[in-house]
Amino acid sequence: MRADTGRHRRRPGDPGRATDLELRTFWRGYVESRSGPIGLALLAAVALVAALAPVLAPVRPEAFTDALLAPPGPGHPFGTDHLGRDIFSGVVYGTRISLLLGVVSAAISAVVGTVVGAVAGYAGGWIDEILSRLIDVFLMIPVFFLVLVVIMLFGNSLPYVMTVIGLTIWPANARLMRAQALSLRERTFVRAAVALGEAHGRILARHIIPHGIYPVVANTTLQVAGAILTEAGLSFLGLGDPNVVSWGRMIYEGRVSMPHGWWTTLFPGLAIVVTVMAFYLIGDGLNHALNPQARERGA
Amino acid sequence: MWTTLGYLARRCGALLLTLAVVVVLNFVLVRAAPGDPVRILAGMDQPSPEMVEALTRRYGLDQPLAVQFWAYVRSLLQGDLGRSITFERPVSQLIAQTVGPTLLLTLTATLLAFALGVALGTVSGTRPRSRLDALLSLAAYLLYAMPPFWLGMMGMLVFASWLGWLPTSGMYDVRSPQTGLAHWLDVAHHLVLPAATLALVQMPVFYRVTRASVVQVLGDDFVTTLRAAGLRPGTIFRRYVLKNALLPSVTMLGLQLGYVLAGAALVEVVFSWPGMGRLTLNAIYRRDFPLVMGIYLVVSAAVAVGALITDLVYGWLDPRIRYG
Amino acid sequence: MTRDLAAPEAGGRPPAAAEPVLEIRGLRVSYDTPTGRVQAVAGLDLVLRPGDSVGLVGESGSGKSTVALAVMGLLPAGGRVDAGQVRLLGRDLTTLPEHELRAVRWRQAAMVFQKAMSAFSPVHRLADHFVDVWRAHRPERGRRARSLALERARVLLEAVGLRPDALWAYPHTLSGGMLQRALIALALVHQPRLLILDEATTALDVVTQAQVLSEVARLQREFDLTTLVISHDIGVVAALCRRVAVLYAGHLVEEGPVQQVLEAPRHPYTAALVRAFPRLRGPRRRLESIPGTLPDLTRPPQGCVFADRCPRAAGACREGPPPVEHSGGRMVRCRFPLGGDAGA
Repeated sequence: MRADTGRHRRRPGDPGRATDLELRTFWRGYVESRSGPIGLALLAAVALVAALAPVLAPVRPEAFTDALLAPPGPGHPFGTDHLGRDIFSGVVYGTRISLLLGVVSAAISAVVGTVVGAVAGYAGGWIDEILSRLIDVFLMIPVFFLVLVVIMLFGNSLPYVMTVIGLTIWPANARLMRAQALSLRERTFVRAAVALGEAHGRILARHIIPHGIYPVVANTTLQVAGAILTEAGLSFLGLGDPNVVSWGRMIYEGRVSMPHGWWTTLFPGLAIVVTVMAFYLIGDGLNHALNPQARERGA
Repeated sequence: MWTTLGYLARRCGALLLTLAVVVVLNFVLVRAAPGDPVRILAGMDQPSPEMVEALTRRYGLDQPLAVQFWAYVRSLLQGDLGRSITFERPVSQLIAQTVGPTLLLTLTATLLAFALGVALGTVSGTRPRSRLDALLSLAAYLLYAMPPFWLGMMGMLVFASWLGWLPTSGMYDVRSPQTGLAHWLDVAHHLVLPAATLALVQMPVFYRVTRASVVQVLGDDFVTTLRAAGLRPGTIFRRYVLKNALLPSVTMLGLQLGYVLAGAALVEVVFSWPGMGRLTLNAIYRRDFPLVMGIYLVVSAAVAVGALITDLVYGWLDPRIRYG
Repeated sequence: MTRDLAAPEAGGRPPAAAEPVLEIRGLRVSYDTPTGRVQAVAGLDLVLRPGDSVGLVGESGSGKSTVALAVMGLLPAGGRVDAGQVRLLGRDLTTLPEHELRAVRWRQAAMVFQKAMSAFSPVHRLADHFVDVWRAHRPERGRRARSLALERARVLLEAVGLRPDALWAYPHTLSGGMLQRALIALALVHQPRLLILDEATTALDVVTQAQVLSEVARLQREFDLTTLVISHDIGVVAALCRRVAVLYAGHLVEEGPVQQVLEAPRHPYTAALVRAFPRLRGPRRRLESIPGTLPDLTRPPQGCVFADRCPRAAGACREGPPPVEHSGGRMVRCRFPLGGDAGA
């Protein structure tokens, strides 16, 4: 029986890179999901728009023009709002804000959640007890309203929004990581490391986290989508960053022009849907690739 | 039976802990926020000296923190959530007035979402990887990707503004108020768009959970036993598979509560539905902190209690827990 | 499971020359797998007369469970009966449409599965299962059906050694052994002519296994059952059966009265299988296993399927299929069968 050396360790000290076969199996599973590649394509398109924003947008999104509440037409493919701002430019530049916000919030959540979860699962005992209680409690607190309160009190600039969202949604990742850490703790290669006297921090960083992070990765993609939707909701209530052109804010400001100026609402909303869908599909593909049993049964 | 009591005790403990954390959080956030607590609680930058005096006295802002906290908890236990600055009425009163419409909207929408999600999830789960399944899954993802306020506005645009079938706002027609049955029919008429919006956005969750659950249960060993015994597939499905597969969806009801309320707030704003959501919007607009925080407390408590109730119901429904 | 091979507990009357309960002729079953089509059963012939108790022995992957599933018409998706007949009381089940098969299942042939812990719906009581299984094959409806079903259930539960109030229990409150017995009771609801036990005691600990086995032996005598016992454990087969059939990689390699086959095996595989089981009495010996693994069943070999692992194999064995030899109520499929006792 081959020793349990942590699946893909090649040399002592090697933090473990996935073998070629594993990468290929993963990729095959991802492609088989059919949703995964579509999501990736959508995301690529959105990212492209974000990168090429100055080239694609005819004007700056904040710029006022004389064409007030102009319907979609030549010069303004998505129309303008009641202050003459070009909706198309707003949508295009908005990709940058959404992607930035989504990714940063989710990254914060991933980092905090992974660390807390790994420590809780690995340490066990009273540390785990306390951290688990904390995770459970935070999972029950309504995210949207907490973020609302905090932003009202602390300020609504974009960095605040990103940080607050990230710091409220991490418990889901923590729970996933904790479950992984609990089972990884019993694996031979981890116990060997402990027996050899490796420092706990090192064990966490080199063994536990790299091997257990996969469900967190899949979940984090979904959290990007969630963060974008949350920010949109906050902006719609007027709590977003007023200096930033986000799609939610555009809908908020376009509300006064409804129903005549329907284009001020339709297009930013569609942009949200497309971007969020991209992340949902990617997350679906990841789940498919990382969960072979579910795959077999057709789930 | 003892396991049930133990289960109950543990869940209640978790509830109390959550409520405690929420209260502490509320307390800490106000005092940790940038700016003078007085100004925050007054809702303005330059409160008059009398106002400062009154607020300091009311919230004990000159006392040590521990005393303040204790006073805060005491007042909460007495049902005092503070006083709204804009409306100049107790927060609890304002919330009590608006909770009804919010409940009506939320419960209707959730029930609709549950029914629809479970039905479609069952359809998909019994034919995984089929074209219908792919279509339904895609539709579910699309709906879940839509911001509730955007979907509401689009619905309002099409069905209210362009087609004129449904009213655009409010809970009933204020210009010609009705009584009795006519009134409730009017309310129902106004409820259609907001409830449909909220239901459509929530449905995908129940759909996905039910679908996965059905797929899993259909592969369970007891299904083979019953098939081997000669039971008809329809009988097996109706009497055995469904009951097993629906349990996880019940759990979702409790887990979704926080999101449903957030969605409800946004939908209420879109349709000017006189519920807590619109109250929240007003409070935000006027920086009415006591009101916002009172709402936050109530919502958090509601979610925690709702989760507890759902857990209890689930524990009662699942014999493995009830007679564990 | 160690058992002295001379135990005379196997049940059933001596087989009469009556119409066979189960007659399998030339059965071939294959499965679709990601790596190709696997031939799970290759040309099986087996006859069970009334009162017979036949054991089907083999390693994991030998195809034994497949035989049972094929008889019941419960092959999973991707499984197919390629050829052959399965005659249950004269009717060929392989040609029956699903709704007719449903009528046959449980009334004429019932199966006891391996994983009793998960064989019941966790959110239904045992009583619910009994009632529904009863009603599936009876014309009665409503309250009358229910009371009849429960009456029968109580009788059967007592027969397998369970208290009647176990009826009202949920599966998770019962132990593995109790659930296994309940499963057997469930199988007997309609007094089937044929009872198939598919690794029915494998998931149990040794003590419980012995208890359940003696219950089954008793039931065999009391109800005059015709049983097909599928197991990888020779001891189980020795305890319950009068005849044994040895399966290797989907091929029937030996068949005969249980005592004779186990004490004087003629096929090298049977001999190796018997040797592999430790004996409770007698001199201590090394534990022996059979070197090698099952052949690749997506590409079955031309010659004898056991040739690669057989200590007696010669060139001829690999060239063509081995001949079948019948003698003295025994059958062996081998070019160089053994003529003496085990260990030759």
